[in-house]
Amino acid sequence: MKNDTFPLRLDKEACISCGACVESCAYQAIRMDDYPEIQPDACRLCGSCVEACPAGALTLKKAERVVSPWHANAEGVYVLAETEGGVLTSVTFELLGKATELARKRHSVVSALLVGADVQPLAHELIRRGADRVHVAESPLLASYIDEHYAAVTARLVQELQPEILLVGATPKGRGLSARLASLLQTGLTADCTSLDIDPASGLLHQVRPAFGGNLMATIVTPVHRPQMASVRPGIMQALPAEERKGEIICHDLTGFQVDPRIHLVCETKEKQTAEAWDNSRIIVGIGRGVKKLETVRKIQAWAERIGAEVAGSRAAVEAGLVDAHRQVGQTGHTIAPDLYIAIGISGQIQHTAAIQGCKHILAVNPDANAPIFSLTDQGWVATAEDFLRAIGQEG
Amino acid sequence: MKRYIVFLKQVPLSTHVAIDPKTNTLKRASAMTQTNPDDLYALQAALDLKKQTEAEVVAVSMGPASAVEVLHEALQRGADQAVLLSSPVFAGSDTWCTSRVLATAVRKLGSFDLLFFGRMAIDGDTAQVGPEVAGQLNIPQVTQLLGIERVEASHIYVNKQADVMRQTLEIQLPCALMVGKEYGNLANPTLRGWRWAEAQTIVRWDEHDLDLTRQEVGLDASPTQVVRTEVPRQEKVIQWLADGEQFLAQIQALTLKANER
Repeated sequence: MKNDTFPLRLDKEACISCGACVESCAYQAIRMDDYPEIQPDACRLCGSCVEACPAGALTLKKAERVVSPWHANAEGVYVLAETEGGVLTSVTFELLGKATELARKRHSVVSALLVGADVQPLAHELIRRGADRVHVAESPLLASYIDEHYAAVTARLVQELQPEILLVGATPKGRGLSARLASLLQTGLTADCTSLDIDPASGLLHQVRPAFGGNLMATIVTPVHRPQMASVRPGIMQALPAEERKGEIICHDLTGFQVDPRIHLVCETKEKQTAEAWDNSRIIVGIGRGVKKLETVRKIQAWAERIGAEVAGSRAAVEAGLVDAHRQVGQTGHTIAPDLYIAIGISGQIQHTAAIQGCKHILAVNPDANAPIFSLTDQGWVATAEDFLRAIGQEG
Repeated sequence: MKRYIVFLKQVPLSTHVAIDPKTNTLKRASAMTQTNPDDLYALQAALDLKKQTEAEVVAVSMGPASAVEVLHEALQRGADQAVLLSSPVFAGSDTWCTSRVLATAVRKLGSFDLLFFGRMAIDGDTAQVGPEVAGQLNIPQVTQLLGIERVEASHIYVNKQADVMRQTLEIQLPCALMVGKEYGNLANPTLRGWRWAEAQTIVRWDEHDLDLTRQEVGLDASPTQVVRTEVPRQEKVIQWLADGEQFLAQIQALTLKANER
């Protein structure tokens, strides 16, 4: 390769010219002559070829890095508490459960950041769920949720408290907030993690996240920037049972806080109750295009109600008008992680399966035994939606 | 005249990845590429607004040389100008460094009123770059966009979701909007657009044009580093059920368990 300052290097002595690197490259950046030729223009330094190389001939050079100013002082595992309609969201408790485990491994404590208007009464619940300390930042100016305001207040708290790790729920709201926060703090952020652990060797947070629609799992670290920030997919981590614990509540003064004068809330209205909680249901029934008729959907709906389940649908079902767009499960809709998912007439396109990987148990009905949905399924039944209707006694 | 900047990413056509059973290495099926689907809706939103307010639409893409393809598509669909941000120095940028390159390009472009981003890219799945660019430029951001009401001389009126609330906001320009498929329908490219795009020159900027160095962007400057990638192994062994009775029995047992929790 011409450019020897390029970070991806090939050791020709070690290379066995097997071509595994060429195969592994998603960007066609490696051509095989006698040896692999790396095209710096096309290479995105993703590291797939380094992983793929059986001879260890490819290396990605790491340079000296700029360290966050308070890198050495950073301490503690922090959770950014999320509220919705004045109550704490379930992902907040899940984050506290995970933070407790991480803090134990780091010989540290769990702190929660509680930002909002009139939120202090929620602090005790955070302690009951695992927080050793709760930092409360209250202001009536935070009564309506605005990304910029919450990010500014949280950034201020983080600068002051200097956490080593900061976890945020990867809810639609949490994603926008955490990204803005990371850019204000000039630190790294790993999106939508499904697994977190402390690497025993380095003490760093190993952040595992799906990419390529769940087809690839990447383990990511934030070596020197602090805090190590991760947004975490809801429904995956285990919350601790609520129990009486001792904890400290620290109130922070926000008297100097001013709202962003560029943003003016004209009005806000609460969406009807049904729109909010369906994706938190423990049992979800998924409708696919294989269900075909609206009448069939209605019958399944009636049955789902009886077993305490919510009904959702694939993109195909939404596009066919079988299911409301607010109830779309998929990459472009909701991500779900119920205890039980029952997929009816869903073929299992990646668009859909990417969003159901957190489901604890999956049952599927599909007439095609080779449908991709079955590769994720615990128990499958090769049958049509009509057969299913007969089974639940809703025929005719 | 207003100026709208739309960011588009070139992504693989298929996100399918598999393990080659012979070599036990990663195998990504598709070398074909496409414009990230959400980004096309972002472009459409900018083009629709252009009809209401006189504006220039600038399409920007960061990526390898081949990313000119997405810019070409943007020109065909109606963008007025296209800029490719491409350099080996940019390679390996995580979301923070990518945002830094994009924010620097925005500053170099000079004045702007709105930035349009697709909600999420189908290869990275992060949904972070738009808000991070907004944060670095210190301009307001709109995530969970439900609709754009109108744009006035110095303000935009938008509807957005914020958990259980539906908000209408009046935001001072400039501002960044994250657009998803919920936005609406894509207009079809026209023959006229296609002909016009053929005649356009795509501007290409590298680290020298943006005055950035390896200490600021790219793999080494990125706060996050990938230490390992793997194809998740399917641990599930499917149990086939013979009939509806068995299927229903499973549902009953499992719903009982789920409702106990």
